[in-house]
Amino acid sequence: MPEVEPHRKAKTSEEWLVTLPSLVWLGLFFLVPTVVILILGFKPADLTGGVAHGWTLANFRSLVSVEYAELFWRTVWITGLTSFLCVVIALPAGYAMARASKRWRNMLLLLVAVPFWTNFLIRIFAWKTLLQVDGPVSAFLEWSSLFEEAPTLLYNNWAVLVVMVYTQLPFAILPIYAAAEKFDFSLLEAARDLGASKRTAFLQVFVPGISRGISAAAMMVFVAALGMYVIPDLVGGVDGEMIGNKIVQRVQGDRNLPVASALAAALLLLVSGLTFGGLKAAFRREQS
Amino acid sequence: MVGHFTFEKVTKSFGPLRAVDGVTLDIPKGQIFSLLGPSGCGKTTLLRLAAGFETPESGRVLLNGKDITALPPEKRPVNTVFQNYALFPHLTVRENIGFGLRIAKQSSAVIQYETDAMLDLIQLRDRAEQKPATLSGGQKQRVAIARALINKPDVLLLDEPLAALDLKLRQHMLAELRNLHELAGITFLYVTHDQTEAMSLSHQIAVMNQGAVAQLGTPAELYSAPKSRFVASFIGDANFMAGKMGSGEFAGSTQVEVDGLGLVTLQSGGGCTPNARVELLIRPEHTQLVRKSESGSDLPNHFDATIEDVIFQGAHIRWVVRVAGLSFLVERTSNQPDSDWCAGDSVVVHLPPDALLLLPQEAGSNGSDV
Repeated sequence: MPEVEPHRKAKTSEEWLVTLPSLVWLGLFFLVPTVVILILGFKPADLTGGVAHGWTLANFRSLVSVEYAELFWRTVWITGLTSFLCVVIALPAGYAMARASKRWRNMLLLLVAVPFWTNFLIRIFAWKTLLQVDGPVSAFLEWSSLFEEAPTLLYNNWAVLVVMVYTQLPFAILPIYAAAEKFDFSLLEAARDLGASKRTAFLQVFVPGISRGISAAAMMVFVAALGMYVIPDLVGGVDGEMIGNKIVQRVQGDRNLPVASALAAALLLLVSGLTFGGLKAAFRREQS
Repeated sequence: MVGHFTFEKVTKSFGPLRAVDGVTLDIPKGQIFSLLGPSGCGKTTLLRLAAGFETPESGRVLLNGKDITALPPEKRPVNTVFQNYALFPHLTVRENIGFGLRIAKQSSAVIQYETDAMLDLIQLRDRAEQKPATLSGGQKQRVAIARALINKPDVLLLDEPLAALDLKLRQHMLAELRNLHELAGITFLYVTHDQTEAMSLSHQIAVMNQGAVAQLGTPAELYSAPKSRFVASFIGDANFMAGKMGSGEFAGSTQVEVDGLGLVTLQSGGGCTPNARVELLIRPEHTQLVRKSESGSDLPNHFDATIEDVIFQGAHIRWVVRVAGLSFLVERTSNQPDSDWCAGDSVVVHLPPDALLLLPQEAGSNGSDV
């Protein structure tokens, strides 16, 4: 379409102009620091906490160890499980919100957003209070006689998981709700009409129908949770740390920026690798 | 034969609105039975009650004498063809058609065989592995029908299945539906607001108005003997005249004093009390136009008139004719002689006594309706 081309070009240059401020912002505050971190990863550390001259692969080589392998594996499974649980909880929540009346829908959306009005750290400390020994949750568990003596709820991987799911849940609910709101619910009636139970219709028609929203939710939670360090730091145990904690230790404890940078670079690689793989899989599924 | 699919005094309300108000209907096995009415008359609610998407607050739904009122949709041996088709976008055409069988845990060999047969029936074998989004409206419609028919339901429910199609395709699909009905040999319950569709397809039609059945009958019965102004005006066009029953009978015929027109004689219509308010009805194609020179307006049922408008419709010509204070619609096939009336011509309108129908006057209806 030759006669469309000039018009499109004019529009593109205009678009560039509009996008320029954001691009400059992203370049200065995102791209440059990322590149700096990558460069630092290849620099030797000096003993005073600075960066020495020359280049080295020692920082990356130091990551190849059983200790780091365990750390990466724990980070991935806690994050993966968090994403999975968030999606599983967000699915019925998003469904219910999309089916609610307009008034209720706005109310529920507001309720999802309410936690953001309170500082992240304060909410985590609230969880510490809830989960502490003789706290409300253990009191309830003992009262309900499910447990004779409530297990330790704090300072382990499960505490990390619970608080992670709690903090990430809105990021799963919102994309799933957005997809569910556009879903044609008469398809569920069609499925029931063809003999599917409510559950089957939900799993075989609703869930595939909003697969984009589910991918988006899983990805958002996964990427945001992968670099988390405050939660493992505050509610996790000694063996509950994730990559984020290690990076903080290397920076603040060891004052070894190059190793911290190498770790950060490895985390970045992990995130982009998994995100790219996820996107590709989602794209392939949509194509078929 | 008694009671194949039955609504028994079924009532359903939405808030203060009575969508279906004590409807009793008996749909014989193997028929194409239409629910016809304007939007909001309760026909779709009745269909949803049949499918199980709604539960009535009173009354029962029976299938072959068995009460299915409380059964959820997935337990009813009926299937629905939805107005918007409601095809599953993430499944291929074949997977859509085979959905019911897969849910019923049929083997993949059976599903393959049955979907093949259905794809052949709707002539979409070459589209089997495509997604519904790539199909045209008519093709989607056929997939929706196949997806329902493959489950061999006792009753197929069709909710305005042709509403989204253009006229040519609609006519084609009507013929196809009749064909499929013959092949499948099952009962069709067909909901539509389109009287042409209902007339050309159905064995019986229930005309619905305000949640109730206004009249039940074959298409011919409904057209030739409507029992109310609503049915008469909904099915086909009609000229209405408000008037008053004349006193007594006159040579085996009844006379009605039509407002603004005078005495009109008709053959039928005994049994109305003298001086009662009534309404007369005549179809446009039964209303006749006569040249002024050939016939005087002093003959019974002949009235002086003026042509107001000519509407050429191809096979038919229609005239809007003004007679005193009333307006009449007259229709004739265009190949008849004497069809060259123009607007402004003076003519004589003849209302044949045997073509006039007498309706009891309903509250709120008045004057002619063209």
